[in-house]
Amino acid sequence: MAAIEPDQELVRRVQNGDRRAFDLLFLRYRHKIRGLVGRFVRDQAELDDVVQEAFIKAYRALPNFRGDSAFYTWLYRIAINASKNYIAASARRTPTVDVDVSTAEQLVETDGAYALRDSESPEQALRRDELAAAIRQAITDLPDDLRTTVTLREFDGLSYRQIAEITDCPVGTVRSRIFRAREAIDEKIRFLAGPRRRQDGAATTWD
Amino acid sequence: MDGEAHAFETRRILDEIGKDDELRAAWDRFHLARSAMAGDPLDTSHGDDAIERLWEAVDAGAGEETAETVEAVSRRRPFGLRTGAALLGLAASAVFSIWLYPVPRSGGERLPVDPIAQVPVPASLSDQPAMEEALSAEDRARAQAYMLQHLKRQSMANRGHPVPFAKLATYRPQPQFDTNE
Repeated sequence: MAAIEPDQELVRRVQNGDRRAFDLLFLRYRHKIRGLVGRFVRDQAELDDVVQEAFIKAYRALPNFRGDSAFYTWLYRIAINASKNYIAASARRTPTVDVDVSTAEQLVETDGAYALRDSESPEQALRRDELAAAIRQAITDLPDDLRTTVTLREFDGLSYRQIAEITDCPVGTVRSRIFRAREAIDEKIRFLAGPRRRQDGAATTWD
Repeated sequence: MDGEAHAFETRRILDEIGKDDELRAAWDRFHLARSAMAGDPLDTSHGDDAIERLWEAVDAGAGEETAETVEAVSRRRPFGLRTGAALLGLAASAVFSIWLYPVPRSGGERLPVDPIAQVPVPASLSDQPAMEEALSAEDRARAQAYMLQHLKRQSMANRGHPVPFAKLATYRPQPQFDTNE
């Protein structure tokens, strides 16, 4: 039986009326879409709104999605359009949308993508840094074989078969090593990534 | 869960994740870690909070026009193509009509016909009996000579301009030189 992209299956389920399948698509792509929209939208609250709007538009239009392109490509286009609409609306609200010197100084280049340094609160920035540090540390702490395998997969984007050829071991071993590496990383970030907020906005877990 | 599992296994795992909140949280963390490793900016808000807000907005009717717009655009497209084709046809027939029947000037005189970059083939005057009767032998000879001379010039310049008949009245054939001598 051939391999299948989870997106393909999730899209099919959403088209059949399964909302929880859309939750998984949202959880999968929210970081990428946020990063994309963050290049256009400076304000943190408005960034959240535009990201949400992009996902809502995707959900509404999903019944018409025929799968001619990958789901992420399609979602990417929707997010770009939502961002452009935001910029157009901003231009109507204010006399100009030119980026002045002080705003330009706030732009930080990250891996070729521009993001705004102050688009998040200090608490969010701290949490993001902690998460990134924990993930880096978790990878560093892995045994050599697991670290090599997961690095080839996540950083170089190689397939299991390609990794098996490079590391000279069966595909099943690659699969097992990647699984164990991910388990180890997940163990390290479990408590950092899951503080659910209560109705009053306070975090329920943060330890 | 990264496109390497077989279809059956993928469906089974997605079923499990759909039923189990703990597995769903693991899915969230998995993609958080992947995004961090890929260098993507991280959305540090809790996923379930964002999902709650999303569904509240959806239930409140946000984005309802999106699906309608997509549908409307896809419905309108064939009509738009038909309208465009009809307008194009109309414009083409108008241009063709003007080309065939030039607008007469106030004095009833017709504008010179534009052959649109085609070298005009001089019609033999003998094909037009009424004109033949009206023209003297000298006139016919002058007209033929003029057209021949014009065609020579055109072929040298490689252009397809219309014959400027306005010059016909004053045209005098040039003396022929025999290059063999």
